[in-house]
Amino acid sequence: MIDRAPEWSHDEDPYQRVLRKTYERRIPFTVHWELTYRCDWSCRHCYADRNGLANELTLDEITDVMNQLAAAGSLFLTFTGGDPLMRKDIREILSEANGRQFALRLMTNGARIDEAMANHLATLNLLGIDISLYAMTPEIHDAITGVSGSHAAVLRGLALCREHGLPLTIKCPLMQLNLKEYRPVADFAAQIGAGFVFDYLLIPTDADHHPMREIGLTDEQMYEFLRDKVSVEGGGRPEPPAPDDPVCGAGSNAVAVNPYGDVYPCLGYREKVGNIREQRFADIWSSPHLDQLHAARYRDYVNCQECAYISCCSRCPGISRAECGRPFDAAPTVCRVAAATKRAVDECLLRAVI
Amino acid sequence: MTGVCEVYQRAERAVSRVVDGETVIVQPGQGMVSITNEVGSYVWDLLDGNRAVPRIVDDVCDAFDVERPRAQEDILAFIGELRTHQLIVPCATGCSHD
Repeated sequence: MIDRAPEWSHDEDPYQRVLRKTYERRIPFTVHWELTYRCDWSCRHCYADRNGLANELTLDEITDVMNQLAAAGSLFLTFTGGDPLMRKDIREILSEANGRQFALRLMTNGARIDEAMANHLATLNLLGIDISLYAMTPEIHDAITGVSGSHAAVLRGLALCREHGLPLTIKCPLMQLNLKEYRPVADFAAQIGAGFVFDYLLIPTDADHHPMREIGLTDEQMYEFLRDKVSVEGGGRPEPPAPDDPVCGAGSNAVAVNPYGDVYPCLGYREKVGNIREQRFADIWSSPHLDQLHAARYRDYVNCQECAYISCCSRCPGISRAECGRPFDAAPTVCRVAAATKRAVDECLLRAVI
Repeated sequence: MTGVCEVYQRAERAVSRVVDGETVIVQPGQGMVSITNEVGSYVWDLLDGNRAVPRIVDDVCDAFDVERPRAQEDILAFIGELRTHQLIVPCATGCSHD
């Protein structure tokens, strides 16, 4: 028995080790599933495609795919949209997911959470509920959603979640319109005991939908924001990636599904690799295109190897594909973010030395 | 202290998946842990609220061809760790369950 005793993982954070293992074994560990593109809001940065709304997967189709995903080893399942709460069968979908032992997250705008929905959510075993709040100033939030009263609605939803003890995270993408709201929203999240996630990288889906260029932070705004953040949070100089480092988990241990059953390597990499109405998930997952993504390494960014911003670059094949048509080209948006980050890090490190 | 005759079940909020022989367990609010070998995963599956510890020990001895005293010692230690992480809860006491 000595060498066969039940073994407990003693690493401090098994998450990274397990992620590496799922990457190497190509297990679709993390799934983002857009249940619908319907939404009460019309957010300015949203990439959801509102065409073909009528042909969403049915509850039966969804439960069948959940079975296939569970069999393939998927554990983390995030339902997003649109707003998933627009679906009339959302309670059944959540309950079915819960019964299949997924670590379940729900991303919603929160506006449709009423007492009955909050009660139902509280009966589930949710890892988290992510709710979009763009500003504490109602006019700014409503200007981003395009819906008057949306700020009041999300605050009501948040209050109900809080009353029911639900695990909340507030998500706040940053744009020119709401940059000054960053601190008030972060403070509000802390005050109600919610997590807080922000992002200034607004995802483009193709050349026609490019919110970063249209409403995203300017280079100077990004730099100032990052400089303030780095100076408060500290941290050393980031290490550059090695040429043999994997690029990301898209198509290796992460996958995305849209409301109509199309499968993508990830939410940010919008190249359809199959449809679960036409093929079993396992067949889609073993497609040659995903093999190619899995084999990708940082050295495949041929034009980036000598870049001065390399240590601060959050390369993304999805953004490169959307902006340049190829997954391993230097994407202008990613380059802008890397340059602003490098400038902020350098200045903070210099200040620390002085 | 882990009682030899107690019956345990997996915590209601703990979800798990077997990843390449390793049982990965996530409990909302408590992060991720894992059981890294086949014997541990086997015991995890048996912690269903229907078996007291002696029966789990018997099952492990049968499945893995190991000696009972050592198996019991190891399994009790393992169950103690699972309890510490609040991944299992005692649901009854006494070997009458068997």
